[in-house]
Amino acid sequence: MLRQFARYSRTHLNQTNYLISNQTRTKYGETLIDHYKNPRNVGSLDKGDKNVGSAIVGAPACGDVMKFQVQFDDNGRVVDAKFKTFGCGSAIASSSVATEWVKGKTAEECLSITNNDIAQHLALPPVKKHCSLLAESAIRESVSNYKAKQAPHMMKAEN
Amino acid sequence: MNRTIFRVCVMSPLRAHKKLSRSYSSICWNCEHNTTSLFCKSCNKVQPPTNKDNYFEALNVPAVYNVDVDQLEHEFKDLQKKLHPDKFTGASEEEQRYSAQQSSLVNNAYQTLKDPQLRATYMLENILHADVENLQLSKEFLMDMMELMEEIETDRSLTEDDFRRRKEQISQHKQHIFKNLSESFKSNNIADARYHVAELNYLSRIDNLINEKLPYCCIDYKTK
Repeated sequence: MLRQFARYSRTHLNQTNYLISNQTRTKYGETLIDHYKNPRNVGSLDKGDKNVGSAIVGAPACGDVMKFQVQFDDNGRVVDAKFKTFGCGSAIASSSVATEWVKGKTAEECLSITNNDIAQHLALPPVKKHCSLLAESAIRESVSNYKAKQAPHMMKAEN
Repeated sequence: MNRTIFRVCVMSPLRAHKKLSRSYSSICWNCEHNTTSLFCKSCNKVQPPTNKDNYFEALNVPAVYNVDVDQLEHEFKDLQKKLHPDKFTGASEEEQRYSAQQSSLVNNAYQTLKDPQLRATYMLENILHADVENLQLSKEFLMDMMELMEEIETDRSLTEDDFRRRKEQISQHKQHIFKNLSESFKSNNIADARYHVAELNYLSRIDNLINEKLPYCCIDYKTK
């Protein structure tokens, strides 16, 4: 009976392995895997620079943490963006896409990027939607950090 | 006033679950008698699980965080003795299926509830409906976590002993949080419990990062 059980469990295990690998193949698209394996713009910018907006956001349910920084030029357009993410593949890919997308955009244009755009671009499965939400809130926070840094200068210029 | 409202909201699901201990009010699939237990009283056939979402009910233990782990183990073994698919090798296909379902439910329940971290997450998500997903953490806390993780990943001067020492520190810190967590659940302080679970999740991630740095043989598989 033991031998029978061993045979049963072996075939059963093989079946589940096959299922899992099959699922992952269909679940994660090529764009996502590309961004995960070759993440763009990893690193950091000078936090003290008044043209740099920094953000740090986290997903407490999975222990993810994401640092996101955007650098604006004097015309108010993003010239550089950097990120560092400790998290799952979807979180890394989402933030990588976000750094690519914000480049060349104004603050307002950056804020128009939604998590749905990112999720759609990466073909994220529903259970991974919250990873793209993390990237969206990282963009929002970094832009508002930049605006807060700019506010005193704006007031001086007006006076 | 606010406090009473909070208590009522939080306590009601808990109490409701305490009352329901593994009750079956369905009709037996085999003999169509009313059944109120795991096995039909009249034909003694195993019944399909009706409460797949409640692990505490599945193991016949009260739905509290400070659950008696010895009792948990006892109930688990006792139930598996009756429900394991090996006991049903000669039974009908339908009965084999139900025994497999019951047995895997009991298995999942035990694996989740015996681990203090998984149990806390499960309590918050499935019993109290207060998961940690949209919890707001302070910037300082996230910064600290980021710095710790970055150091582990990039600091080349850290030796294997340094990593081991950090692993030890993390596990001590976790033990401390488990104590706080049990206090929070005891006093029904769900806000604190959520915060502690988030802390644990970050510590687990740091622990995993350290595991990647250590040689394969040193990984302690008990830690998540």
